Amino acid sequence: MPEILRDKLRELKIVCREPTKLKNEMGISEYYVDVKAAYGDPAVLALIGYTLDSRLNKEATCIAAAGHGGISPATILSVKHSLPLTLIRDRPKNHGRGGMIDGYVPKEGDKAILFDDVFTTGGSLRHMAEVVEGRGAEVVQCLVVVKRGDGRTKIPLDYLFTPEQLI
Amino acid sequence: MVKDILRQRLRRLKVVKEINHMGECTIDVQKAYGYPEVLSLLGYAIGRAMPPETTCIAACGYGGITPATITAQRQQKHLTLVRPLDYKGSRKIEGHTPTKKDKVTIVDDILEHGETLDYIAKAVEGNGAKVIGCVVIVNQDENNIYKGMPVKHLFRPEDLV
Repeated sequence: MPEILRDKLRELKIVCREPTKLKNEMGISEYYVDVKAAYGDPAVLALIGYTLDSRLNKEATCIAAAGHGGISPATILSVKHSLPLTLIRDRPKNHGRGGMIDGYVPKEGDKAILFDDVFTTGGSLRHMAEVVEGRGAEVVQCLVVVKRGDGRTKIPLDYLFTPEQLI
Repeated sequence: MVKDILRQRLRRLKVVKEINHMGECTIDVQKAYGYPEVLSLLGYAIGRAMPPETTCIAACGYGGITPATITAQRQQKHLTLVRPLDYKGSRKIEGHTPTKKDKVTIVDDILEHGETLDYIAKAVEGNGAKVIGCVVIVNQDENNIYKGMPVKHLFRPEDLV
């Protein structure tokens, strides 16, 4: 149990017990979770990076993230572990190369880690898995900082904390 | 030295592509983010280019947040994430909320017309912080100043062709 990070995140109050409407009409959660609040402080962001270091699947060949919550820690892990960084959009962009992927485009034989800040229904990870698998790569790990809900993932979810641990 | 290596790598990755003989080009810096060593060098070069009194780095979108994160980690600065231009809600700022004490540098991949810089500056200054500069990886604009903000760049498009 990564106590130092847990205590820091408690101090920053990134979790509150208050009914929170989920995006895309996915219902209501009893917790408000804002992991991104912790990214503002370089020491806490580094601590998130250190804590995730030992959790990474050693076989991985790339790391994918989506949205503001995923990108900052994934960027740090990418540089630290020399894992090419795949940035996944929620809709295709209308400029540049188009498509759903920026950064590294996974290919057949790649083993990808999918990273996000919060897991609730699993919608975001499912979307990332579809994009990555659509390129012929295999998902070897789903990793999040906080597991707020019980949504399903194809492979077991790795998480650092439940909301209860951060209150 | 670092900039020479970066220039070589970005050229080889064809981040800037000429599309005709009029010198018009397409620029895709984000494909370079898929190479950890390039990303690391970008963080180093941006850190060197930003004003040393910076206390906080602000960025918006994948193009800005990725290099801003690396630079903020290396330089141990606060990181401010501004939600995308089409965000309708009231909480535009995530990560560090800049205060009056903060001196903010904006980081982005490309400066073309300056909409993103403008948008980030407004969001950040709403809290009383001062934007003291911008660092972009590729500057397509001819000026080195945008609405009073000094803009530094690592490269001009023609450096990378």
